[in-house]
Amino acid sequence: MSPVAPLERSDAAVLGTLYARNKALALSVGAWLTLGRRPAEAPAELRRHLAECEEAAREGADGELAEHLTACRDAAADLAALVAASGPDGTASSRERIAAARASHRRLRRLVWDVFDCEYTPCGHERSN
Amino acid sequence: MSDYSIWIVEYARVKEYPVSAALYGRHNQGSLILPYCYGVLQSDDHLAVVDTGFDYAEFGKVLADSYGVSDWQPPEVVLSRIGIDPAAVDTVILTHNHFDHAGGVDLFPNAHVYLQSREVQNYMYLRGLPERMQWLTTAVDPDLMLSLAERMRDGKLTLIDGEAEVLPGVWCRPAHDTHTAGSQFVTLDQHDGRWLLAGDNCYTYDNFLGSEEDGKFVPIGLAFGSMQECVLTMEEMYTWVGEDVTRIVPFHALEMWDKFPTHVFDDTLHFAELSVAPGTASKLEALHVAA
Repeated sequence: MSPVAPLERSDAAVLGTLYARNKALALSVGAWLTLGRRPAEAPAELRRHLAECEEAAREGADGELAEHLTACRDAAADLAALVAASGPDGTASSRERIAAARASHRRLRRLVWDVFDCEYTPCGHERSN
Repeated sequence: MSDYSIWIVEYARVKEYPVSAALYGRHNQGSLILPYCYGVLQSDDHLAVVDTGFDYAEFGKVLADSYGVSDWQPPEVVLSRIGIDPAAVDTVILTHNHFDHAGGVDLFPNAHVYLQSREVQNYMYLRGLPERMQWLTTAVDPDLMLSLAERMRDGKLTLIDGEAEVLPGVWCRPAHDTHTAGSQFVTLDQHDGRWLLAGDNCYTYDNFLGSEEDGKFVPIGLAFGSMQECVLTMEEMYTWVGEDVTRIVPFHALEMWDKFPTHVFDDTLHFAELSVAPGTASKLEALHVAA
């Protein structure tokens, strides 16, 4: 989603921010590939996201969440590679690129759910009900 | 006219689901048992499912821990025991793109998938909103969206604009801006009358019957669209079935097991037979004979 918000300080806060952004970007990339209409700013937004994930992975390399931040970086890289390899209408996207983006996103969220509660909600079933 | 056998298979359940989530405004009124189901349609020429459930490998533990979703079984169990191979399913109709309805698409690898285009288009709109509004995609799985992109790439996904006959005699009807932006319900008009598979446009029969069965609609508890559209869609559904709510099939209604001929398996999951196409053997009778 845009605009991109500035990163917070702690590794957990950074992870939460980057995961949420990765999720939003993966959703929109999936929608774009399905609809065949790439938003003009998508590649630049993904490059920016990847750069921030790379920075977070470097800075958090010795921390408790090093694996998580590395997974963030990998997910962002696979997503950016998927978009880079696809034409404006999404027709050139390869099965392998999509599979890689899916796998790294799934790995990321499994790790994130060790840190934060799962944000997925079965229809209407909020925890506070 | 094509005739279909229609079955409902339960693949999981929530044992304590808040009443207020199923029926708008019913706060502090306890919980109910909420079955998780999908529909199966079979004709001489086609084998289809309406919704797919979710993939336990991805969500099982977290859903069990967070919300008490239990007793999950995969399609190769709940379908195979009624003689259906998930790989033989040629059509998947998604009533909406929430992960607990559409998250099992990968479990039907050979099917062509149908979904309302508006459901996907809405994600492009949401993309432009600030991150603080991400609740709007709370039940949407990006991995699933990428999976659908893969289907599109392989020519196995059709995005529907509004009303469409996706199989002979099987219609998708838009329910836009209700539970989700691009929700739909499925209708069949066949030898034994009209049937309507509701998705999450209603959760239970009480949505139609109302408080004290006064006949005043009570919409579902969660609308990403508007409650007005929910009620208007319910009216459209109610009218379509000739005001006979037993012809509406909510995928989360415990009462289904009382309204339709049903078999309970050893793992306590249910199977209901709503309609048997002429010249087709009853699966329910076969199950009872086997038992």
